[in-house]
Amino acid sequence: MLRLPAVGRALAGAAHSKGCLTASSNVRTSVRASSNLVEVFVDGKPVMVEPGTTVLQACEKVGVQIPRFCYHERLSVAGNCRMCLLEIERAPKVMCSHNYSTLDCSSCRPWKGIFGHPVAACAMPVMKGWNILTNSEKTRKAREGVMEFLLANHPLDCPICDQGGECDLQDQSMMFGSDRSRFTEGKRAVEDKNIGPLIKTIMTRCIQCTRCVRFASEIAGVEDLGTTGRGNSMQIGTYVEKMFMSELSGNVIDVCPVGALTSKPYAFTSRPWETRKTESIDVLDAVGSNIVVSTRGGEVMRILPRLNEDVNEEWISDKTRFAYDGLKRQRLTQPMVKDASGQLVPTNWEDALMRIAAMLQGVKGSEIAAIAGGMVDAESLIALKDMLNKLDSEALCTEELFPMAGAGTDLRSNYLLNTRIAGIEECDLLLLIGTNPRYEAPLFNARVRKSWLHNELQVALVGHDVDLSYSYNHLGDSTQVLKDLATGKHPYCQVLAQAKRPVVVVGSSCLQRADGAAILSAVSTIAQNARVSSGVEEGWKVLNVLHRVASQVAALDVGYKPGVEAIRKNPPKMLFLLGADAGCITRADLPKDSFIIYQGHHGDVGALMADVILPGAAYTEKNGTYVNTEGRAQQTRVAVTPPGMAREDWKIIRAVSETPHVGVTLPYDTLEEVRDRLAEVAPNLVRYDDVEEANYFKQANELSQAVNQSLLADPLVPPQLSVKDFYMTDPISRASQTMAKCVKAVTEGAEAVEEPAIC
Amino acid sequence: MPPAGLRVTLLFGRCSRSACPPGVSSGARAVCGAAAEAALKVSAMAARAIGGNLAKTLREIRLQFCQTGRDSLGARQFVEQYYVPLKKANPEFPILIRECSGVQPKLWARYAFGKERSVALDNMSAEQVAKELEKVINLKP
Repeated sequence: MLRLPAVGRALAGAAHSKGCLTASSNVRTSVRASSNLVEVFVDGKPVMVEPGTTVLQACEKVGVQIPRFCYHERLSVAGNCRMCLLEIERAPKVMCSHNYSTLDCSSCRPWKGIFGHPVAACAMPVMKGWNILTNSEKTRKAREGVMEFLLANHPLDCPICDQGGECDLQDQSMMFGSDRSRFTEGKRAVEDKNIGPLIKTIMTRCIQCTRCVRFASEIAGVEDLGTTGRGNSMQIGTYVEKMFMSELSGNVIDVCPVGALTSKPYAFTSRPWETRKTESIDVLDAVGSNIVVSTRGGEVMRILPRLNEDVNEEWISDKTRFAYDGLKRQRLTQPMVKDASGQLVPTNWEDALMRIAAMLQGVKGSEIAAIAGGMVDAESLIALKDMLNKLDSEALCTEELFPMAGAGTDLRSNYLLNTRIAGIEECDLLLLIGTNPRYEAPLFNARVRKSWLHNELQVALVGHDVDLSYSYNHLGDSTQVLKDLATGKHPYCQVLAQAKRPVVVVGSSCLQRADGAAILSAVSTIAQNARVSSGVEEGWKVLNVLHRVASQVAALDVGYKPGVEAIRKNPPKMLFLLGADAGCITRADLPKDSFIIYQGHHGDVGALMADVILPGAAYTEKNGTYVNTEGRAQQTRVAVTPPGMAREDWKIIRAVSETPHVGVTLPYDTLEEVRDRLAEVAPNLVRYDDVEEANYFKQANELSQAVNQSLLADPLVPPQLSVKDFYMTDPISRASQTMAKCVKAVTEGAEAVEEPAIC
Repeated sequence: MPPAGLRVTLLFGRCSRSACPPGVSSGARAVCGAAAEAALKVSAMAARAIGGNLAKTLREIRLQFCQTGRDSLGARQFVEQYYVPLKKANPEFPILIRECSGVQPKLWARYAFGKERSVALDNMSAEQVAKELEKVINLKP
């Protein structure tokens, strides 16, 4: 999808910018004077709307839902399904905008022909004085006719269709369709296409609404899908058979109003009315996408997106949507203890806890350390920290590194995406440093693309040249560029200086480098300079950090030390791995007789080196607090119970704390009490769904000036370069067969993945 | 700058020329230095109290306050005026500044073995906050 030039967009007006009427939408549209509003009537009810508003939007404003298939709020208007046909009536005695009666005005007269004929509500801008009839005889007849034509070529396979029960076509034919068909000819049939291991296509069911085509080209930014042929032989497809290669591809399943595009892993597994829906949060990246977990009989059947305009809008990434089968494989279901021969053997909780207690005997507080992984909730983080603190240990680390030179993690503004995800829509220049947001935070990238498309956002990147699905100014991947930008020598500084609302985003991956502090210091200076030159108001945040793992912000909020350097320097006798599966510390880094406890939900890297394994709960199995990269605290909810003997993580730590020899019983017994404790440590952690503002950039920058570390010559290369690096990044997605299939499909082609015959 | 210099000395008991932000002229530095020298005599006790000694009894300081509330004004000013020199003197020590709208401004101090103590900072001035900090440092948990 090409960017529309500014002028063209202004002329196209509201018809093209879908966000005009939805107050919650953040797309910037020019604010027109309220006196310009035009009055229209919906079934005789007056409503004032902006000029250029479509008939459908006007109806929505008074709360009347118009049936539609091709129209989608977040996509451009196609107007090809005709389901939204409505009758328009001239309201009597209304003066047009030219101050004539609407019937007499020479400018308005051409519109006269519209009265009494059905018009497509989604594509027709309203004119002053129109009376929109949403339920007139003519309107109903028109809908019934369209419905009959749509059904003429639609198979009658609802009983075996996965969309059954949540199908727009099914619902609307019940509401607006005829009770019989006059169709006697043969139905059209279309060959199915293999577009990868995630999306199942049954193209005969397609009604050519082109939502998927528009989604791919506008939101996902891949021109993979398109239409061929016309009229009855029109088809949706990829032209040549290939995989629909996008990290957001699963959203076309939601966008498809019929059962033409459905989920391959979910095929024939459950019906929407059988499942229980639990509103939750995704933890496979640091965006914190809002999701609905559909479960049946204690099993996660699928994961769907949940609307949150500030975070993920209504989209989720493919990893979020399809990695759920990883929740059923490689799970730790029983406590395990290493026996004399060095084998891990299943045991009961009592044994495992007593073993830990016995090993703790005679170990000093300073000889105990802990590492927290990427998917740990804030409750367990605080429980573990309190326990170790009570034992007088300060060695609590996270796997992800963050430079501690300067202000470090004292100031939240130092490590948050301060501009917020939705804030990207208000900025005019975005400088990305050492990150590939497309795979590190797909929904953040989608937001950048949205702003690039609609708001003329300029994007520049320092780092490896990657495909971000939009065009950007590649400034190079060497750290010299960073240095030049900070000192003002780089030619791009002039562009940067002209930005009115600049945003600088640094990827957390490049802060993992040995020169992370120097990078952060340079970035902080670039951001500070951009702020000064832009003259933007005090509240605008320029400096941003884009994290990659869900637990990092909460861990830093409660005071974990980022990075395992402290443990390397001071190898502990006892190491507690809380879901730490990145393999930052290996047996080789520790003394021979050190004792390792692993607590987590998957038998991944961390569990392999453990002496005792405590099975914990995954994010679908616990009420947990997670803070996303913006600093937004959100909570997951229990959708299913943890498998086997696994328990909620904070409860396990609470149990460990009261065993003899540990003997530092934590002062909380309920989730509420843990959260009260969280509020004592960092009150923002319990302000759910809110972003608490973080300030003091000046102080942070002042301290970062004192950092005397020099930039290394190595180029800035993020770890996830292409789509194949995206699918398997954490214990859950590494255990997922679907994600493994995706990796195979993108490397060897979609046809390389074997599918069961049933699909 | 002189008042800031003064404050710095109150906390650190040394002429903290390094604490003067870059760009302060040598003249101003001299004034700052002079003020510091004067203050040194006055508050040698108070100065010795904090300095780089945060880590001696304490394990962690947490400062919580509201971004806009009037109750928290002093706590905010404390961060603006004292935080940078304090951090420079204690680069390894965690001073967790956690802003949150509408919370009561509080100073939490964590000592060895997880013992904690909190002080409410409602309507205090930055200097009073510094005094409170000094107090929790000297207190035995």
